[in-house]
Amino acid sequence: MLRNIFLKTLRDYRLQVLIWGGGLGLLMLVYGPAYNSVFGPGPDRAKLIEDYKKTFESFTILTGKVSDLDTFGGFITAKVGSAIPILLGIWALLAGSNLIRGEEERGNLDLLLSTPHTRISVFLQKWAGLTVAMLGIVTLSFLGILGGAAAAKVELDPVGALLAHLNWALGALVIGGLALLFGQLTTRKAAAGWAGGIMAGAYLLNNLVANVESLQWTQYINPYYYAGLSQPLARSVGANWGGITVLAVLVVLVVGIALWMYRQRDHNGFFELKLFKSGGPTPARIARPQVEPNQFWLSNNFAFGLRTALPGVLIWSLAISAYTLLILSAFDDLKSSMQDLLNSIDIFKALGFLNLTSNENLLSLFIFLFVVLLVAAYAVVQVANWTSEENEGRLELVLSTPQPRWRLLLTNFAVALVSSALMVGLVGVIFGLSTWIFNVPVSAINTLAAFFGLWIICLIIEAIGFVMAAFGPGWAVSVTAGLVILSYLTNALNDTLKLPEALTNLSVFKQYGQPLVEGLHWTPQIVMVVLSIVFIGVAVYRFRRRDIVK
Amino acid sequence: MSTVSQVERANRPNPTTGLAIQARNLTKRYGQVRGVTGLNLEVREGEVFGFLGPNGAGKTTTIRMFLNLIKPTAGEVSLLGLDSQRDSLEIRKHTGYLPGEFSLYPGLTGAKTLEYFANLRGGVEWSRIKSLADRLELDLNRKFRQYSRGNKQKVGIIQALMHRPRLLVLDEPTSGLDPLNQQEFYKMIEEARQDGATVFFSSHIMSEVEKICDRVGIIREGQLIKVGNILELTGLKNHHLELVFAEPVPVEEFEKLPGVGQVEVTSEDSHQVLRCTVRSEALDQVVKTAARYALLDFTSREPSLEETFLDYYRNEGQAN
Repeated sequence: MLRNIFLKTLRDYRLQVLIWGGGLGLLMLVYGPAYNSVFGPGPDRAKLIEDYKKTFESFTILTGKVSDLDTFGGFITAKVGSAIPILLGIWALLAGSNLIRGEEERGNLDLLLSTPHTRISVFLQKWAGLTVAMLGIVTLSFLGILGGAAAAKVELDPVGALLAHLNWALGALVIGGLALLFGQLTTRKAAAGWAGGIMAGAYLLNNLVANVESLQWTQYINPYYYAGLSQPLARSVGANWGGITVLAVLVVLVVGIALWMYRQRDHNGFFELKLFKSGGPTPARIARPQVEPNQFWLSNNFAFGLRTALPGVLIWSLAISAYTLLILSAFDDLKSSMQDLLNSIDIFKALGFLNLTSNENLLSLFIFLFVVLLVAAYAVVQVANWTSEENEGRLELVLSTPQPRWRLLLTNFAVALVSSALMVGLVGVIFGLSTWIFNVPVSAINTLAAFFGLWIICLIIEAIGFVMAAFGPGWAVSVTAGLVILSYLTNALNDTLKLPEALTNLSVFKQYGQPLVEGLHWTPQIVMVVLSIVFIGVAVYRFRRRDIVK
Repeated sequence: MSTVSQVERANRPNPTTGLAIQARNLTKRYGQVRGVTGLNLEVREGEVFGFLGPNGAGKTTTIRMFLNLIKPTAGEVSLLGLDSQRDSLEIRKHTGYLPGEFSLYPGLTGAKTLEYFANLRGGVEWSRIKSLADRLELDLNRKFRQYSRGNKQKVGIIQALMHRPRLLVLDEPTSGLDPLNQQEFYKMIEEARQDGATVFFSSHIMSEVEKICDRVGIIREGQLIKVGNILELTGLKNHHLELVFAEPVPVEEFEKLPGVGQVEVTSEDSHQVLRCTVRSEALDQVVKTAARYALLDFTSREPSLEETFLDYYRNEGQAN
C-alpha cells in the first residue's frame, strides 16, 4: 500500500471508508426490516402508503420528489435517498479540501514534491485515491442494501441499487471537486466552508424549485438537479443517463480547473488570475513603522476569542438568513401550493402540527427543521475552534503565561456561547424584519422562543464538545459531530425505526420540538441548561488534571 | 494597555535553597512507554544550564513537566522554590518558556501576537518588544503565516524574553536561527544572566552549550546520566595523543597503562607514530613512559564537548 502516491492516499482513507461506508451500510441493512414493519401486509396498507406519500410530498423541500413509495427501492429512496447525497457530500468536501491544501498546510506536501513526480502526477494520483475511496464507501452501502433486502425478503433490483449508489457517488464527487478547486484559492477551512455552503444552498434550492416556479431556471446550473434526475431504485423513474453524464462531465470539469490552477500557483500560495496581476516590476516593500497595536481585542482572552469568532458569526448568520429570506420571499407561492396537501394528512396532526394553515406551521416546516441542523453544525465548529488551539500547538504557549486552566476553558466556553448567541440573534433579527417586509405575520413570542431554543441547542452541544475535549482533544470533534448526527437521525427516523421513547428523548432536536408552532417546552430546556453546567464542571475538573497534548 | 509591567512590580518569591529548579525522582510514563525515569536535578539561581541528549531522550518531557503542561507520574519538581503543580500560576508569572515546536495565530501579525501575549502577562512595555525585534531583525508587521521558520522562532524567543522573567526555560531555542541571529541570541541570554535570571535550555548544538553554559546535564533514555560544569565534563574526556618516535617503541608498554586506549602504531618517514586516547588522570604516566624513548614530537588535542558527549554516550551505552 506504500508503493505509490495513489495507494498511499487510498491507505490513508481506509479507516474513513470503513466508518462512513460501514455506517451507511448498517443504516441500509436496518431499513429492510423497517420497511416491513411500516408497510407490512395488513388491511390498512394502501391507506398507510397514501398517507406516507402525502407526508413526503409536503417535505419535498427537504427530501425532494418521491416515487414508488410502495416498493422497497422507492421507500429507501424517499427515506434516505435525500440524506445520502448530503452525507457523502460532507465526506467529499472534507476530503477534497484536505487533499492538496490540507497537506500543504501541514507541510506534508513539501517532501512529496521533492520526489521525482510532477505536480500533475501527484494531483491526479491523490484524486484517484479519493475517487476509489468514495467508491469503497458506496460499495459498503450497496452491500448493506442488498443485505437489508435479503433479510426482509423484499424485492430489490440489484442493478438499480448499484446505479443509485454510483449516482450518489458522482454527485458527491462534484462537491469534493469543488472543495479541491476552492483549495487552490484559499485555506483548507475556507475551502471546506465554501463547498459546504454551495452544497447546502444547491440542495435546498433544488428541492425548493419544485414549489416555486420563478426559481426553476436555477436547476440547470445545479448539480443536485442532475443527480435527482436518476432514481434507479424507483423503477418508474429509473436511471437518467443524460443526468449521469452531466455529473461525470462536471466532475472532470471542476477537477480539471483545479489541476490547472494548481499548476499555475506557487506551492503554499494561492491561485491568482494573471488578469489581475500588474505586469510592471514589483515595487520595493515600503518599511512601515512597527507601532504598538494598541487594540482592545488584544487585551484579554475573551475579547481576543470573540474578535476571532466574529467573521464566522457573520458568514454563518448571513448564509442562514439568505436561506430564510429565500423562503420568505417565495412564501405566498409555497403556502398556496402546500396548504391543501398539508391539511389532508392526519400524520401531521399526530406530530403536533395543530393548525396546518398557519404561517408558523409552514415556516417551522420550511425553515426551522433545517436551520436547527445548521445551528447545531455551528456549535460543532465552536468545539472544533477550541480543540484546534491544543491540537495545533497554540495552547502550549498560552498556558506558559499566568492563565489558570479553569479560567482559560471557561473563557473559551463563554466565547462559544456568546458567538452562538450573536449568530442566532442576528438570524433572528433578520428573520423578524423579513417577516415584516414580506408581510408574513408570525407570533412574536413563539419566534423569540424558537431562536432562544436554538441557542439552548448550541449550549448543550458546546458543553458536550468541551467535556469531550477535556478527555481527548484529538477525537472530541468527530465524536460530538457523530452524536449530533445520531441525535438528528434518532428524531427524524423515529417514526420508521420505532425507537424506544427513552432513547428518542435523548435527542436534543426532539427536545427542541416545534417552538414556532407551540412555543418552547421549558422543562427540557432547563434540564439541558443544568446538564450543560454539569458537563462544563466535569470539563474543568478533567482539563485541570490532564496533560496538554503536544 | 501594555505600558506597565505587572511582572516587574510583582513580589518575587525568595527561595531559601538558592535553587531555581529542583527535581526529585521526577518520573513520567506513557502507559508502558518510558518518558523520564527518576530524574534528580538541581539548577542554581543565576546559572545557565544546558540540557543535552539525543532525540527521544526525554528532554522535552522533562521541560513540559517543569511548566505543568504534563503531570509527573511520580516525583516532584519545584521552580523558584515553588511547587510546579500547586503553584504553577505563580511560577508562570516569573518564567519565560519557548517550546521546541509551537504554533501561533496564522492571520495575526508578529506585533499583534506579541501584544496579545504581553497582555496575557499583565503588560510589557512596547519599547522592550520593539528593541528585541530590532536586535533579531524581525519585521513585526508581517503575518505569522508569512514568516519563515527562523522568523517564527524569533517571535517565540521574544515572547519568552520580553517580560524579563526570572527563569527562562527554552527548548532548542536556536533552531532555525541563522548564525548572526544565534550570536545575538547568545548575547540576550548573557544579559538575562547578568540581570540575575536563570536559564535552562535544551540543545543539540555542543558549541553553543560549551560557549554559554555554566553547567550541563546529559540525559539518556529518560535518565539523567551526568551533571557537571563544562570543566568537569571536559576533565572526564579522553585526550587524543600523537607521539612521534625516532625508533620503534614497545607498544605493549603503552597499552598496559591504565586509562590508555585505542593504541595504534604506524611507520611514517622512518619514524614511528603512536596514537592513543588517554584519560586526564593517566596523562602524567604516559608522558613519563614516552620520555624513556627518543621522542621527536608530542601532540595532545583536547576534544570538543561534542566528542566528550559522544564518548560518554558510547561508554554508557556499552556499560548498559
